[in-house]
Amino acid sequence: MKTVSETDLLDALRAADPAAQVTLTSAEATATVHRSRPRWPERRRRLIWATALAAVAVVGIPAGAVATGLSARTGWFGSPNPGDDRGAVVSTESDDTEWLDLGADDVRDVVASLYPEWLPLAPGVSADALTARVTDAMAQQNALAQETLVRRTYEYLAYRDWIGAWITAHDTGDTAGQAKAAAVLTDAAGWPAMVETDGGGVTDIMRAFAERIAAGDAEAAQALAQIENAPGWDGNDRSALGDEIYNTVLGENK
Amino acid sequence: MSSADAITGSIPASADNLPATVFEATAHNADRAFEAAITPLVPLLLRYFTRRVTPADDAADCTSETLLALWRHRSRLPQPDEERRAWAYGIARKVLANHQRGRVRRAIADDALRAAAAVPVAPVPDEAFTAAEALTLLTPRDQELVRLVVWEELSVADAGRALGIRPGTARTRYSRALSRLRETYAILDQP
Repeated sequence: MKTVSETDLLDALRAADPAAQVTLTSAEATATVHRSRPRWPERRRRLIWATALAAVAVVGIPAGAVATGLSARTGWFGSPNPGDDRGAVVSTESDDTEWLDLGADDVRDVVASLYPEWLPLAPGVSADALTARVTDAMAQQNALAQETLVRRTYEYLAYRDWIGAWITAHDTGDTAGQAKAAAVLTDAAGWPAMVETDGGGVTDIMRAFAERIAAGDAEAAQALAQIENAPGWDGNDRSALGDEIYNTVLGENK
Repeated sequence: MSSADAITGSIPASADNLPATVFEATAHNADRAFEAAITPLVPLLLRYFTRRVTPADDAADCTSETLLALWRHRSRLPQPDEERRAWAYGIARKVLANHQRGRVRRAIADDALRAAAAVPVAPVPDEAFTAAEALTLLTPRDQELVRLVVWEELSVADAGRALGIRPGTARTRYSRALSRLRETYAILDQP
């Protein structure tokens, strides 16, 4: 029996490569990458902040694809699509949480059931009121979302309330209120859904704003309120400051 | 309705209540860096799937699906090139598994990918044919390790990373796989 050297064997294997002739120009590769980006319509771009870089998405369902009206709990979990054979519908790889049918009759109950009891609420905000806002934001016809998106929406809306709470406390000289709000804004960068859906740098930016706010920087608070459309924004444009802060965190080339 | 229409067509109208221009700008800059980082991976991924998937159109679709998955996981993009390749192959491996379960979307690749994947395989010399046959007689796990090292040109450690096994284990397994491959090749190569 003939033996073969390792070098010859590997050379033979390389020569057997079925993809040896497959090439792609740099321009084609670049165009392919560009075209492969997830597409989002302009009017939705605000939804993207954590999702932009990340992992949770609301996705549409073609008419007739789902028997909307039964239960929001679809029984579909994880990625890359909601677990059925309609692979052309969606491929929104996210996490292992359940996909919810946002058009179902019981979607409000399901969204309410996901209310995070631990979530600190800004002064004057009740759990019921926050739940109602989240439900209003989520309930849609012919759309799916994973549970993580619901939890993130709870966290995000609460976060926005606390931005307003800090501004109010600052404007009224309520130092205890400022300290409390600053502490929550700092903690918010570690809230679970915020972290889970942070596709890159989002919580770092939240933390950077929180540090400035905790140090009493009312301009940073206003810049953040402007960015987040939070209560308390005075209407003056501070986008340059917002840009400066995120560039400080992420660097110009990121 | 296309899949793209489905994704963009049923968005919550109240989504305007949700975040945040600074994050859009952040995303823009990060996206450009990410595009630059993964562009060199595209031909590698296309070849990866061409080696493992038929027909060629499926290889192109799997490549597109992998690129989409890379976008979604871009926060985890490793900086060193070699780690980045291993990471991308790790994701490609999951897409491949989904493909084998019939869960990869069809007809999502663009024309350039399809054309590139459709290049005919050139005739191979006898020893290459024998080596390829010998490879198929290894366990699937060992086959994949050898493919990643020989065809994807990963280091053994990075191939192990792509497969989710530790470098030491990968080295041991690779060495054993090569020994078996040589033995099998010798048997197949007998006149």
